[in-house]
Amino acid sequence: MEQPNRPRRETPARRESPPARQPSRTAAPRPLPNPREARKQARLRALQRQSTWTGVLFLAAVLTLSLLSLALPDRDFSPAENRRLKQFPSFSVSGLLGGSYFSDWTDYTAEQFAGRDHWITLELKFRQLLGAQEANGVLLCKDGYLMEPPVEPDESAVRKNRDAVNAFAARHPELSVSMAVVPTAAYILSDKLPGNVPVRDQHADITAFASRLQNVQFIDVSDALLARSAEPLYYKTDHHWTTLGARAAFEAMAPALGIDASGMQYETYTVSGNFEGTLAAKSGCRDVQDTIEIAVPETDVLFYRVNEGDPTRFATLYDDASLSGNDQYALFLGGNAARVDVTTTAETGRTLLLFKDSYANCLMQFLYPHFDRIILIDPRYYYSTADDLLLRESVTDVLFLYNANTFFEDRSLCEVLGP
Amino acid sequence: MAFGDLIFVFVFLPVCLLLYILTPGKFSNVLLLIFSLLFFAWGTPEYLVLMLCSLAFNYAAGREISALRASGRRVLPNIVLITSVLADLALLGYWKYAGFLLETVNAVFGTSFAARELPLPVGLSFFTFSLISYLADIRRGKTEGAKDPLTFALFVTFFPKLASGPIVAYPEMEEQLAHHPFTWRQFGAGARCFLVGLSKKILLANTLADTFYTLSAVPPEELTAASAWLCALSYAFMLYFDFSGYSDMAVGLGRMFGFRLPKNFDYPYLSSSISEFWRRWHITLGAWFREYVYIPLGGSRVHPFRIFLNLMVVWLLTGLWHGAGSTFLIWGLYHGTLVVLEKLVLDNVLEKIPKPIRIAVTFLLVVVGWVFFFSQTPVEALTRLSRMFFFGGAADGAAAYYAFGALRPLLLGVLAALPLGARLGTELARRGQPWTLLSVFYFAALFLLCVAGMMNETYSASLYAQF
Repeated sequence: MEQPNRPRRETPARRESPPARQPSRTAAPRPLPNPREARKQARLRALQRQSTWTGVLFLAAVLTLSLLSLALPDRDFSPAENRRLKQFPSFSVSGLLGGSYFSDWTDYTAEQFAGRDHWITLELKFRQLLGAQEANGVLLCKDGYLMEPPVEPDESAVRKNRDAVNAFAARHPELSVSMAVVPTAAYILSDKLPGNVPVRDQHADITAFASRLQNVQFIDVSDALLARSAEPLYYKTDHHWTTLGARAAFEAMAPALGIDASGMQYETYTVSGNFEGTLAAKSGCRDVQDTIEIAVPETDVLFYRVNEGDPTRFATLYDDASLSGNDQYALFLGGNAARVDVTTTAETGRTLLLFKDSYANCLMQFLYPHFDRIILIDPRYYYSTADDLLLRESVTDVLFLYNANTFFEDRSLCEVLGP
Repeated sequence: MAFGDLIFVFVFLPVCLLLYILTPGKFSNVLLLIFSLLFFAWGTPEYLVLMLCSLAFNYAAGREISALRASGRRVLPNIVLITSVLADLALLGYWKYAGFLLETVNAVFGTSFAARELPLPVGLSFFTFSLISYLADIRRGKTEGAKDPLTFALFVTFFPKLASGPIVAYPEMEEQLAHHPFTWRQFGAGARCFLVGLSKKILLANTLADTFYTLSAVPPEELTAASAWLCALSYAFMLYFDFSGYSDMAVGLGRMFGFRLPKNFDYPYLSSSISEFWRRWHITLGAWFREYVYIPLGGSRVHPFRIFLNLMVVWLLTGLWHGAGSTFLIWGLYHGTLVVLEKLVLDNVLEKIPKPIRIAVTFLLVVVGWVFFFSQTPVEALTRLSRMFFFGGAADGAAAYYAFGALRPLLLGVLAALPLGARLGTELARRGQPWTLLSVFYFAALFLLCVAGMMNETYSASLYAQF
């Protein structure tokens, strides 16, 4: 440290005479170097040695990494980031003048850099060492859990959806209409959140929404999930609930839906042990892999499933191919189709119309034995209207099932429900 | 393209360096000019023609002023100087201030002129000031200007200093432009300087940016004192490491190619007065305003009231230079007022206060200034300040969360804002082996962490690149 009382030389004076400060090899040697001067010279030489070494090492490191990036084959797709990677830009005059040629080249260099994924992991470790508790909007929680913070409800979208649901229920008094908005991991597993992290009270948002529904039976599954929060109800690396979470919610919903599932037994199977979900990709955190379990009801009910756009009748709810793909949660129903029809031999005389997001895909394992038919509509991809559909199908029950984060930002449900 | 981009470090720089080492001395300026123009055109190729026209115009103006001066004319050189400077300023005004001006006009007269959203040419604020100083220096006889248009073009566009300075006067670079040999020792010293700057930018500034942007997204009226201070402090250190890091990289790059660019920062947060702060923060900008605005206006050798007026003009312009907006204006005037107070009123009082206290008070005043600098509106800045000074709660759980994330980066920041690192490096080098080697490996480790950081940074550009 500088001695506090030592008078400083004025800064401008120092700046006006830079040569005095700068080491110069050509300075004439003094005839009688005093010890102080000798020490200074030694320090200078040492610094110069350090400089040369640093320079050589720097250039070597830069060249090694650039040549390595050049030599390694380019990748088309990054599983870690779940997206296509930039390829070497082809030259065009319009691209050059418009600036896209240069910016493409900039992206290409970064995305095809040698060991890109490892660098990103290193970066995350460094940030965590410095105390980071979130990465790219994902909360890095205890026990390896990754969670998205509860979203702030988009007021106008939520109001539109609520009005549309109320109007729909009023238009169709013959249907029994229910709704469930499922809290996400950040609410149910709040004890795993980083200490003191400021997040919204998702349950308060859910109750506020539910209190203004009319002619709709709202099913709050929060307590049922909270009661079993010590069990793995949510994936650690993905924003979805597990089969166990869906089951806990189903058991809470069944009475309200008029389903007697008390005697139902399930056979569970572990089908994957290396699931890295969307939150792992978004945060770059790859410390943990999830297992995926499925639950098969012990029942005689047979069924087939048809996804819109594909004439095949599947006798299973599962899409095995997804387990070797990048999004293993697509195991359930093969991902999000605009419409999925499941026809069964249950002979209960009930047909369920289910407006849903991807949370329902996993819930289907528990729902199907209790309906003759279930029509799943994902309003984000469905371009017809609900009333249209009701004219053609004889529906008895309607269920809206969403997770809170999707629902509070959803702008598509009101479109499907119509005026 | 910024110095912290992968494409710069791993494509542009090595290609340019290798060609530079291989090119015979007499063509080295041409090579550097080509790469500088490429650097300029990288982000905004549509402005390359504009840049070439501006270079041609200012080169001609410089030659003209020099010739008129040599022939003993007194008035004509001034006319040429003033018209050329006005032309340069018009360019700056059109790109940087048209929006702000129209907004003000609209607000005052209730009109609704729409400003066109144009990307800024790279380094516009910086090279405009270089051009003005170049012409003024010729007029004042400090230099005859460049005879060779290529040398002139390289002086203006030299890529290490093009985007964010340091702002160099032509006489300072004249000799170097003619002679800048490559040596491994200079290259190494430059690489070391570059690595220090890169680490400041990537490891410190970008980490602090996380905290700052999280906190600045919280509505200011919901902040507690603790969070409001964390926000302001993380900005203060983020800005310092961002900009001083960028300047270090510029100086380092210059040195790799055999140039000595002046340093821009000298541990500014250790200043014991605001005037001193401005001799240690963005040194070359302060020097420019002193040299080409304050002194021509009469400097300190006039009536105290004129000094006051001159200072206020300088600080108003300094504020505006940093950004077109009322918050920047207020920030400039705030610093101007403090400097005036120090110069005219508090001069004798300050001497008697112990230095650590002066440093602490100066730092606090600077941080308060930054609140205006980073706030979107003056009202927002005042809200933040009121929160900082306990017109809301002192702290809450959220503040504890933010503090956890910010504590270690801020502590590292405080350490790095002191001259400890540089002294440690010198000390290690002095001890000889194996310590010298150890210090070299320390830089290597920093570089690897920087590469990791750069990989993660496609969105965070240097804060000063737009000024």
